[in-house]
Amino acid sequence: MKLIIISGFLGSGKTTLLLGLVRRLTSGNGCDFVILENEVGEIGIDGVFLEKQGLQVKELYSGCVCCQLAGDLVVTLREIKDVLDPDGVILEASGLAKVESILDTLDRYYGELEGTMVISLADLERFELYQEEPMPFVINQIRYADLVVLNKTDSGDGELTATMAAKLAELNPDAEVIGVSALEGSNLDLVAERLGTWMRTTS
Amino acid sequence: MDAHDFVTFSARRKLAPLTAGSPRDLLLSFLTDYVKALGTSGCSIIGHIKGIVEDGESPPLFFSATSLSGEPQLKGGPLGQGSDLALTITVIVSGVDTEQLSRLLDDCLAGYFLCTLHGG
Repeated sequence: MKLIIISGFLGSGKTTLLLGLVRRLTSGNGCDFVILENEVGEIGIDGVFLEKQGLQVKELYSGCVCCQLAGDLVVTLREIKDVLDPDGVILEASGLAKVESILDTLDRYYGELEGTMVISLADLERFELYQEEPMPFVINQIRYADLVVLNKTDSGDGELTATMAAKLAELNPDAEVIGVSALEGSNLDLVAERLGTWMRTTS
Repeated sequence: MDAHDFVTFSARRKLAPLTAGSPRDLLLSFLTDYVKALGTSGCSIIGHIKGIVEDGESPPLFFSATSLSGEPQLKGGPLGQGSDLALTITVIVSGVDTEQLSRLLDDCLAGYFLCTLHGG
């Protein structure tokens, strides 16, 4: 069982991206996925939305999997492996999550994964979050990503997109940066192709 | 500013529209008012305001707002006119405490709905 972590600041489009990707991965690669939805709110919202789209969803809410719910994350991953054993789990982390802490928890307490891939979203509509004095957890999300997705490219011009992509590349020189509009579906095929390749070649 | 500077507030309310207008329009008006009220109450960043409105029969309406200046986004529905509605909302912001978030929520809802606490 492989784990794909989708991280990104609040409202950056993680749920929309997840939905677009899982549809492509399921139909294009024949993979089956369980979605693990983490929200800091006391009531799950995104899980309801994804279930209405026909996806198999487990929810971890009222805290963040990078800290308060770290233990619940490990227990839930074990349960998913034991009961459902899917090809992959897609974890949508809360928008406040520090990715480094999630990876540290998995390293220490759940070594049975065949691989972990982190996709972090940056939000072009809120480019100012990444300039001057960016929030440490937002920078951490980008720094620990294997793939950075610059979302909402439909909302800005080419110059802003290029400036933001350059900033993201500076924060994480090892990760590919792909611009998308998750809402419109543009460039999601490319992200899905990267994920599909990773799913097939990682063991 | 870091993650611990954000405040999270979740609530459920039962809503009865005060006018015969489309529930979708009423909801959009409420959300616009709520975002405005947050801005004038010291909110510096809207992380995410998101929620679901259900009437028990139609597909649910999902909403989302991520800025003090942009228009809230709605998808799903349409909700039936004249029905009681169940609202579930989560607000993640900085600069406003949970008491203010709750009070502002009820104040803004009161402009468009008769509002009662909703368990579950």
